[in-house]
Amino acid sequence: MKLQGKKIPTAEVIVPIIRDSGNLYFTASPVLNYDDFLKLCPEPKPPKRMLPGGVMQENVADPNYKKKLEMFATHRTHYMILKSLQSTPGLDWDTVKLDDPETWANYESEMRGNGIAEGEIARVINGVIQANGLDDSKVEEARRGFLASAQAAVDTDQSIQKAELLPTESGEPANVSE
Amino acid sequence: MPVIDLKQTTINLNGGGVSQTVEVKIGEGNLSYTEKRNMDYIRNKGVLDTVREGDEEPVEVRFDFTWEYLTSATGDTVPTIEEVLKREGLASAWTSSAADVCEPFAVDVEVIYDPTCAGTIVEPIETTTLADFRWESLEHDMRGGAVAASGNCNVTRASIARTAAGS
Repeated sequence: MKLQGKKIPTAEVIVPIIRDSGNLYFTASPVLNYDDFLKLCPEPKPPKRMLPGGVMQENVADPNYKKKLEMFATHRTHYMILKSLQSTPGLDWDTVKLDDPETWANYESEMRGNGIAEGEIARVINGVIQANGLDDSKVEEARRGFLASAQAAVDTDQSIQKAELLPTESGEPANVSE
Repeated sequence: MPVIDLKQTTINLNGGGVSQTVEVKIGEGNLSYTEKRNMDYIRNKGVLDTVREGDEEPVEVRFDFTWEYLTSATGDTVPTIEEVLKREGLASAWTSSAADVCEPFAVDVEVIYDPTCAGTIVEPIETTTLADFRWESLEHDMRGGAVAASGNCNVTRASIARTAAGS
């Protein structure tokens, strides 16, 4: 696939962690598919309920289903963070295992336990959000930029058209006698 | 005779096996049960002397309600109330709630009353269990979602438990 004749570049975000002993860098890249995640954590399905008349309906209000859905969303977010940070060179987790969803939530405590401050963890997660195109402010900024450049193109086009329509000086009158 | 307001109430019909539960969300109606005991007043030369408890009586249960929907623990297949009470159709493999398998099929009727509304003080949930219920008369209108049944439980008392909301 190409967009406007170009290959779409990967949206990698580098998050520096400043240290006197030498800066560290986390690399967040977009998670392009969730197939492995869905194998480990299949999306919960609502239970069925029977209405009068025997009609079967999905019971999306079921409290257990809601709880499972909440857990699914939490696992998906954790997976996105871990999978996205997998592109960081030399990043090894002690307790987090990508094939074990129960360990995914440990990434935060592991980072904290290794001297990464709360604000730095937030910046790393923010980097993951940006790399995965979920940063609304950036998207809005880009949309405004696009609309502004489109408007500028329209304005330029209109000013050229106006210039073309301006009356021009008449040439020499035709020689009637000819 | 305790009469339970069935608004904000669900009724579970529980068989003896794992996941043998149908949850009934009640629309309108009521459920009543009667606990009885016989007292023998012993007289001594015509004067009241002592009291002994007579023969035990089963708890009488009567319910008459319309249901909004039925759900089951297994999710995809939901037997009707009639199927559960009669152990037919999707409930044909259910086991009795009673310990003695030679007795006629019975279910536990569990009435769960949760009075808590969103944004108000959290009230405890009251669960009334009428164990080993066997129907003796049953009217069922599946189209209208209405059930009327009466019968007895092979116990002398209903069991009532209160638990904290959300537990």
